[in-house]
Amino acid sequence: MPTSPASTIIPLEDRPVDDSGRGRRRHVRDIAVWLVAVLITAYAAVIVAANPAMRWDSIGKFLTAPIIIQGLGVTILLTVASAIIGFAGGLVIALMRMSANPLVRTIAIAYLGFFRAVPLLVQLLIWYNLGTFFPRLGIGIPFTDIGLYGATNDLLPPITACLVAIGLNQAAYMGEIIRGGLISVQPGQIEAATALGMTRTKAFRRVIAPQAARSIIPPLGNDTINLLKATSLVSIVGVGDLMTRAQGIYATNYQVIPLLIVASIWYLALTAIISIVQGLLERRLSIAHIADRNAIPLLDRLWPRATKRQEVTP
Amino acid sequence: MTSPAFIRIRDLTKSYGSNRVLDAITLDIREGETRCIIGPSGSGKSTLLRCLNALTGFDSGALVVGSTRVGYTDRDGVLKPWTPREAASFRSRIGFVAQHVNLFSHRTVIENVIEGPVHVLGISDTVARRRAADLLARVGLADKHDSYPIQLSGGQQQRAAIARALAMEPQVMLFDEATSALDPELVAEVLNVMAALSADGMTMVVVTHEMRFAQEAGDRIAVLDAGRLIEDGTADEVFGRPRHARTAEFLKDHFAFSRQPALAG
Ligand SMILES: Nc1ncnc2c1ncn2[C@@H]1O[C@H](COP(=O)(O)OP(=O)(O)OP(=O)(O)O)[C@@H](O)[C@H]1O
Ligand SMILES: [Mg+2]
Repeated sequence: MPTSPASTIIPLEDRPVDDSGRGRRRHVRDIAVWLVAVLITAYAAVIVAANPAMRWDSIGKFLTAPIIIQGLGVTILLTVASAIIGFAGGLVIALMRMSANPLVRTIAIAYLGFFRAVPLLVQLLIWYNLGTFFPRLGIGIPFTDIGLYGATNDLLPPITACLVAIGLNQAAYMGEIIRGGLISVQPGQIEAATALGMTRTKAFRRVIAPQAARSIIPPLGNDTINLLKATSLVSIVGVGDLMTRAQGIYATNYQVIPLLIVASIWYLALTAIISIVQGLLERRLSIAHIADRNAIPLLDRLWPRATKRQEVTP
Repeated sequence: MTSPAFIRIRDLTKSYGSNRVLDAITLDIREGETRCIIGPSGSGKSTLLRCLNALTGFDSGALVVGSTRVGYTDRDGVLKPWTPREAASFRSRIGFVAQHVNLFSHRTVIENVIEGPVHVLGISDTVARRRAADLLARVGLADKHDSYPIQLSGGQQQRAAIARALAMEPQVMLFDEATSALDPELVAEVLNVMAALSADGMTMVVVTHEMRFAQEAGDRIAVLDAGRLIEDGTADEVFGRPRHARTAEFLKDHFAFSRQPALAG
């Protein structure tokens, strides 16, 4: 900043402030942003809608066709079940990864290493084809015939194989998300709980878990959306999820893009639901200062006004 | 000086690796007494306090608080180390206020205060809330029940932390530099609450750098230096006629720079 020469005296007394320009500039900026957004959307819509290959009638027809709805059901089932497996498994992995016992820690690190390194598609194919490698599966005493065994293909039908593959893979990612949340809890909070006479389990339930949840929810929502979309990979092994059904239909009627749009509409709807649930959870877990931050309009958070910024408490 | 010692510390020794943090500390604290502990940074004051409520263990020596031998249970004449549950149950009877305010940030002030009574002691929510309201009034936070910690000043937070500890109806209150993270103008309000508590006859062990508080509210003052107890006496004895050269040195340094807040009322 250039300093004024000593001779220039900057007056201290009040002068009228003309603030009007600032509000007008914001207004103009907002209108410009909206205008551009509307124009781009309209242009895209016209290009798509005017295309003769665009069969609006088939989109309408297939969107609620029983076969698509069935596929939607399978997609939802796969997502919910592997989210549950992933969360439970992830909690175990996170706690193991933070254990004081080096052997337990190493097991968790090895798990993370394997399941995060091998592409989900490969893992899916491994579980799906397990029957060709271990024809029989079961539990029993090693090196003897004592135990319960069954044919792998009966024990692990394709849908179960997919659930296991996606669930175990999800557990690895969830494990790191949960661990991130747990280490974000201030040590002082844990000490306070201990000093009050809480046992470790009680301190975990009453103090550590609720505080960790606050930082876990946003990446958890993100990861669940990824999971939803990752379930479409099961179409490679012919489990009848939304994507498989859409492919099955366009393989016979060649309306590829309309059916992909049908699938997209449903994925969009499911993603919207996950986002809404995430938002509700965040609202419920947020405390005053987080609520304040959310009160700042989105555009202002991305593009702070030069002056008059709301102070955000960290 | 006739009441028997409530806290008895005998030859308490603790090392972190080769660093001897507490070196054969022997100290008695009577019931209802306010014992201040002063000494240079790193001399082991916090460690001693953390031994007193079993937040950390010690290597040798013995420690008795009330009728409890800290760290061990006597089973048929044999001392067995505490289970985590036994340690937790002991800690619930000792109040602890730390230097850095650590109210549970996801709970309101009143929820912080009832957390221990309801979820550790099993007192009903209604009763706990009634008692919490009394305590919050006592520390001057009657109007802050539903505020979150982040919405309070540092001094208010520390007073709420004192109320949270008192809600457990502890036998002893331990304060570890409860005011040293606060802005100077907030120190007095917290010290006043502590002085009132001391006047009410609470048994208190107070690690502090506030020499005026030690002088006026402390019944006796102990001085730690490099893990050793080098001085133990009344304020007049310790401040007026220090026996150890290190005490004189510490006091000289300290009085040269210490801010001395007025203790009102
Ligand atoms: N968890 C720990 N691991 C290793 N060393 C430790 C640990 N806690 C404390 N110490 C060491 O023990 C010594 C005493 O620490 P302590 O915190 O008790 O001092 P203090 O008298 O409370 O100091 P201050 O006035 O700065 O709070 C220091 O040398 C410190 O480095
Ligand atoms: Mg300390």
